[in-house]
Amino acid sequence: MLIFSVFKTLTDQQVTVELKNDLSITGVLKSVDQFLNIRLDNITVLDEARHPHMMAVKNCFIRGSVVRYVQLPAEHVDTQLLEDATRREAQNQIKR
Amino acid sequence: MSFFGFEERTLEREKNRRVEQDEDLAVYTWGEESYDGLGDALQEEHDELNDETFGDVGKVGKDFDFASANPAVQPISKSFFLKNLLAAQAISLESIWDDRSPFSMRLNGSGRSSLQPRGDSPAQHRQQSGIRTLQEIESEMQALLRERQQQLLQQKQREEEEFLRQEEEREFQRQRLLYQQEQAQIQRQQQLHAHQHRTPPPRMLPVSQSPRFMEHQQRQILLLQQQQEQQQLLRLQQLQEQLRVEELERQLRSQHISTIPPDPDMEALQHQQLQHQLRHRSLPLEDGLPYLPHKLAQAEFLRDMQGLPQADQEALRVEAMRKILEAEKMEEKRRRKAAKIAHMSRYNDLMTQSDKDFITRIQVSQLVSQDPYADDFYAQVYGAIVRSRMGLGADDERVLKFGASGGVALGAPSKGGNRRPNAMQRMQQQVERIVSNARKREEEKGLHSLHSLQGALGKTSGRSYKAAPRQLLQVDSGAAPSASPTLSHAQPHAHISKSDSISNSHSDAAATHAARLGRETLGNGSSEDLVRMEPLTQREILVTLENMYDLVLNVEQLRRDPASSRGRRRVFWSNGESNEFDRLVDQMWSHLKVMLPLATSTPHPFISLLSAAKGKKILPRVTRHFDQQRMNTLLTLLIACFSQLDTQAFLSSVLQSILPIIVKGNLRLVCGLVGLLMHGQDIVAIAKSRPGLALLTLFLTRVEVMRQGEVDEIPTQEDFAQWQLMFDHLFQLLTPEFPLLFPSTRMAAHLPRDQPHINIPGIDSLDQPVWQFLAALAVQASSTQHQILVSSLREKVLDNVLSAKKGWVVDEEERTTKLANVDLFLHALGLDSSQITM
Amino acid sequence: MDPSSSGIQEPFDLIRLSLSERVFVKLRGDREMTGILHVRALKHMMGHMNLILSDVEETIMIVNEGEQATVSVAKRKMGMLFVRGDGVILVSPPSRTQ
Repeated sequence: MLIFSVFKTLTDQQVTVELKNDLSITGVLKSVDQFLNIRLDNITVLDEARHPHMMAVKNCFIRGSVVRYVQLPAEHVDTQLLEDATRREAQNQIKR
Repeated sequence: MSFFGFEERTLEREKNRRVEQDEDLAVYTWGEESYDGLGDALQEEHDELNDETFGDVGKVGKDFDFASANPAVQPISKSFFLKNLLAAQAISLESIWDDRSPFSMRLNGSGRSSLQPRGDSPAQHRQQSGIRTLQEIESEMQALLRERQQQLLQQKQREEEEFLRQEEEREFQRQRLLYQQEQAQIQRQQQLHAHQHRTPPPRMLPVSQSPRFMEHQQRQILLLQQQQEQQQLLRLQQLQEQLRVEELERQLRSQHISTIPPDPDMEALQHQQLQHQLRHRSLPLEDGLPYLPHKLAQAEFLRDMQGLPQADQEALRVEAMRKILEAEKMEEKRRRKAAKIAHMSRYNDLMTQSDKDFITRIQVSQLVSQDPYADDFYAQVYGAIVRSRMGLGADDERVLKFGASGGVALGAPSKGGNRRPNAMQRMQQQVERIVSNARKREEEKGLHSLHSLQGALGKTSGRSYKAAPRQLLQVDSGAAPSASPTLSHAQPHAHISKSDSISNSHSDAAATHAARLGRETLGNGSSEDLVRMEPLTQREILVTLENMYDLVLNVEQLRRDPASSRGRRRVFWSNGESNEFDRLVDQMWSHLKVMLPLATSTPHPFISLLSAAKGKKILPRVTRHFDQQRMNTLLTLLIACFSQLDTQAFLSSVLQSILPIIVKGNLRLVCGLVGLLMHGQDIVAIAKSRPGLALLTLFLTRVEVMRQGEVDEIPTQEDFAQWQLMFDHLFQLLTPEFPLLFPSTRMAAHLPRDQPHINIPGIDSLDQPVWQFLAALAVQASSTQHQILVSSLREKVLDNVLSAKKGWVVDEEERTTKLANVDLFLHALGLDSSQITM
Repeated sequence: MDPSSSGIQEPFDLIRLSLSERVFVKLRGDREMTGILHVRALKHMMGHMNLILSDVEETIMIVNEGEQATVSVAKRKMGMLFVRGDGVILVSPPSRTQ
């Protein structure tokens, strides 16, 4: 849930999603769900020559399970808060 | 005495032996495989009715004298009793199984005929009175005749019989007693047995011994008996039905055989139909008749065996066996299912509907978390931070940039901390304000210092100030021995009042004194209870810090609690909350290890905690909750261990934490802290570091604020005098190093001589804190000290002014920074860069 | 005097120790990276750990198929990175030496 919570705060920010097939898509994060499925707008593909079929695509929905990384805009991420949230999850883990 | 030719003693022995054998048999066969648990139902008490059951000893008549009629038959043995008992309670399944014949079964079911005592004994005849048949009367008459003939003989015999009967009675009594004893023993053994081998019913163990449980068991036994009786009845009905069908079928088959040649397919079909019919009919009975399908299959098999060729018979046998097995399997399945349902239904209606509603309410209430941040903590708090930032305006942008670029915690200042600009910016503003205030005061006083330094910077002209800056310098040679600034401390200071014309050694002593005062604040002046130890390991640091984070999160949660934070900045705590808060803060304080003696380890454990990234991050979040006294202690420890701190630690967290304390600290505290810095630590090295310089600036500005009287608690003259000693000592120590305080100067020292003003990007922002420090120093300096400052830094000042004015610096922003830096310092001296002519 | 021996009861606490520290992560597909750990979120059902790291340096080993198989190494840096847990092989705690 934590990661989902983080992604929610990054809507309308530019992210780069790197897929497990090495395709890297940069675009504006429009929505995300609990499975970390991602919807991007205004996308561009890193290596367009290798993926010509992506050239005409302007937005996309990415299934969460095919994602390897997501590069986040550091200025919109509060690392201290991330760590606090992780600690809280760990605390709850022990409580349960 | 012998009877029927047996020696009495032998008979006796024989009887005993049999009893013993029986005992063994009974013990070992009771309740092994087929044990049904009924033994548990046996009552050990209620012996008061034994007389009714077994008869009173005195009244025992010939009715029970079976032995006299057939002495070979053993008198009422234990096994007989057991059998009776068993039969009364339940007819074992085996016995039903064995009785295949419908007739035997009918007999068996109708009563316990096989268990009835044989009725042909003379004793019974004699007893029988009432209506008698002709035959009986005839035979009786004959017997009467014979009796008369044998009267004499019988007379004798009767005497003997009488004796024997008495003997028998005694024997019987003895046997009964024995039996009772044995029975009790068996019961005990059974109970033991049951405890060992039977798994107790789940969750019922504590109940099983209770009277209620016994009652329940008895009721169950009764129920079982009833069921079995019903079963018998049903079985009989079924068998009748079966016989009827069988008869029908036989008729049918005989017709069939006579008309059509036997068709196996047809036959099989008929079979199936018939079987289906049978099974169908038997269905409603199944519940009461567990073995019915099996029975039916068997009956079918038997029936099919009749009037069929050998091969067909064989085939049928196989088929029948298969069906039997199938039926058995089905039956087994059904029974298991029924058992399962019965098992599950044990707890039926254990809870009422309102109980269930209650549980549901509890479950739902757990779903609704007490912590609104539980699952979405990050987004919730992040949103709150962003919102609070939105409401702040221009200053806010800088906070955002600061946090983002420096990688410094945004989360920490969010909870109150971000309401003020960051520490460095705040300090810079403070210095500017002080300088401008000081300048105003000077102007009011009649431009005293302006005059004294008039033209001190000299005139520069020509292409380069390098050409002849020294020659143009016009410094009052009497006031400032510029050639040897190191000697300046030996000169008496004009500014200091007559009583304060103190030598170097005096001010050094003052620093020592102040340092001692500072250490006393730490509360560990005595070294008696000092336990020296190794510095904390990386792991120890991390573990301690994670424990601290738990506490901090709890405290913050406490403050964030909706009950206590609704729209109010100052929170009204309930007693419980307040106690909890105090407890958590106390724990944080002890985790921070501030109270450990200074010499515990190097670095001090507290400083070690600050070496970790998370330690730096947590400090401002912890210190926010500490009171003034604790903060003073913490600050003193920090200053005492200042050289152990790393730069990053200071700038990212320590400064932020201690700033509020220093800006509130009294002069005595500041004196002590500055003393600590100078005593036992390399003040020059500290001053050359960015954190050290920032700290010194902070102290100087604080004192200046106090001098300007902008505080509630006006320091005493004595305190000021003490401070003056500290200040002079500091000035002395730093004087030879003034130019080297600048990072640009230190960098230039490593550059080739012929490239004097190489442009290092951003160097002016690096120099900025030094200019601020020097400005803060200048504000408090005496005119003599002013002269020293000017002479030491003239070159640096001119370098900057010329770079800016001669257009050597292309970037406008950099040019402005250069001038602003210099002017801050010059203003503190009462000068301005515009006075420098070229 | 010091509670260092106690304090860690659950394996999950080891994750917490690494927070704010530089960690080494080994990933599927011959990838490794170091970065400062900010989030390590346990996914209960799948049993893997999603990570968020900052100041990341990734190293990718590329095996060049050919007569003589050679390995070339590609490196890149990323400011803030979410790493999906199903690709993570191991996360090693910060080194003791630093």
